Amino acid sequence: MKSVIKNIKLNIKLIAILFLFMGVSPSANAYPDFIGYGYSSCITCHYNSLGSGALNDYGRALFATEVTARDIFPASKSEEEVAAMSGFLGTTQLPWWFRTGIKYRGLWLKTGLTSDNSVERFINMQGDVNLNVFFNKKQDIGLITTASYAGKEFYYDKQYQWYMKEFYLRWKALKTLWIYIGQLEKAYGLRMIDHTAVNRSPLTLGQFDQSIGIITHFTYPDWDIALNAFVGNTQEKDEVKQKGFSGTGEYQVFEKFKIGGSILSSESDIKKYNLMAFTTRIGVREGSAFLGEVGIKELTDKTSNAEAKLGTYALIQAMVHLRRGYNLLSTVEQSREDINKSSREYSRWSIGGLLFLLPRTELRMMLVNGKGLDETTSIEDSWSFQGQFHVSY
Amino acid sequence: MKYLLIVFFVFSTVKTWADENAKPVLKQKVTSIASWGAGFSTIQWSEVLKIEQAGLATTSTANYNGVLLSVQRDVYYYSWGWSLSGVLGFGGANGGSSAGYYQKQVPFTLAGLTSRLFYRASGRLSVGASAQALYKKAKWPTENGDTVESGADMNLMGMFDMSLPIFSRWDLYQGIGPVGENSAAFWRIGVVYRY
Repeated sequence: MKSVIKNIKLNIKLIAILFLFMGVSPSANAYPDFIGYGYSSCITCHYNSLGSGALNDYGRALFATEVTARDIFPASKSEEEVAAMSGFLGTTQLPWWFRTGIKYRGLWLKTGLTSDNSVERFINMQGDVNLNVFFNKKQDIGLITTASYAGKEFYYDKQYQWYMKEFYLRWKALKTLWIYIGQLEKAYGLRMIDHTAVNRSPLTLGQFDQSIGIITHFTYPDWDIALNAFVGNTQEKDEVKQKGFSGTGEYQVFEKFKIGGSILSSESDIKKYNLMAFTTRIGVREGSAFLGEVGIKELTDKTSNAEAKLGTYALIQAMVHLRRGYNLLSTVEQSREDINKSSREYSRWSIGGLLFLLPRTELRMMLVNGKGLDETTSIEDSWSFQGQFHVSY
Repeated sequence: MKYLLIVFFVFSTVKTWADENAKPVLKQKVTSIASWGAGFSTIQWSEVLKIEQAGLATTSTANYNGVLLSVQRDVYYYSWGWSLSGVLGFGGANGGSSAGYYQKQVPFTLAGLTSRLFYRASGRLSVGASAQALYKKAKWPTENGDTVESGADMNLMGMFDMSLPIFSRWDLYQGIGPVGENSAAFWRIGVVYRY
């Protein structure tokens, strides 16, 4: 009973702090760095107003004309013509009630670059087919679905088969209110592409952590807030389903400068998470951007009598736009398991190129340096290379 | 009074005469701009820790963590620029292993010079390379004539770095480069205030 009261108190504290931040807090994006282009709202490009998942028609056109290099097109081809070719069937329009897309991500990973135990792996990270059906021409009401293929890499206990990763009804109930019902990503923090980042998978926000739930997202020109209640992923076993709520919001201090906050509280029969984060996104100029997320994470292992671990995490990302389609990306992450006792601290710096050389593609080449700090043993640096190929058709 | 009027007349005439006879001065074309900056950064790196206890020599790792204060002069040309800075740093280092020699929060101090050459992607947004000369002072505690040393006192290193203007007078600086042995990297992340 005491622990329940303690948890309620903590949740009330989290909510109170969130409201302090309000007028302060983040809408998450799949490419939150694109605030550098002046696009600070995710609904501009995605069907999900919190970002990630399928691109809408405008997002496809923007990807082709602003983000991707146009070296393969002759100078005589106008941006309007390039934009018109960005549909699923090129210039041929699909009927208004139907949109589809294909996404693939593959990762070539080489770890232990400077050690004798170097390991190489190729991982098919993502193979998605988006099928979206709309019930009116304005696309105010629609069914958004993502079918994915689990190959060698498991999706829960599935392998070498298709499964439904996302399926939700999106409804623009008011000019300023979006409602989402179904299985989709939880509303929390910055939705980075790197699902292994300290602010994603370690916090139950990873690649496969979509959850059945309802999200209400209020959006105004200078601020937005999303509230999410969720009960876990359909593919999870009941005892590990994380059930709870989250909230995220963002306030635009001035053009291309947003600050925000997020909270999440959820538990299964095995683990309980309480999270809180402060975020910021700054568009620097001409496509360059800075992102930051700093948070605390309380993890309780319910299978043992151990006390809850209160840890911290932080991430900063800088994207430098060199020329259209060519960017430098630098991400520094830090995580500590428990701030109340001796615990290991991890840091990781990924630096490399984020390239959009051809229409509908993305190439990432990142060199990753890892550091650890421990109060009982000193730790050597580690190095790895990540080469990532992404097709978004 | 009349003398004052005369002086006033003379001065006013001189100014008028000067204005009338001055050669037309062409406005100098600005080719560079310069600014001063004061910086605060966190730094992290590792070094090989050489331990000699009771005549037995072993090696381990030392993890350094600290802060760096800097004063810098930046000069910007149209598409490139350079920077020179003086730095002072301090912090603590953990080294060894609890199974043998182990020390935590061994204090260290740093002093040095950094020079940077950079490409201006736009405005104050730049990507470049730095050369650093850092002198480090750290004394690892020992007993009974044992010796413990980490890395070198004088470190010369190169860094890849970038600077982003996040606010009108504030830049975010990030630099990473190899240091010492064991393929270790030196990290420097911080902010610079322009004045």
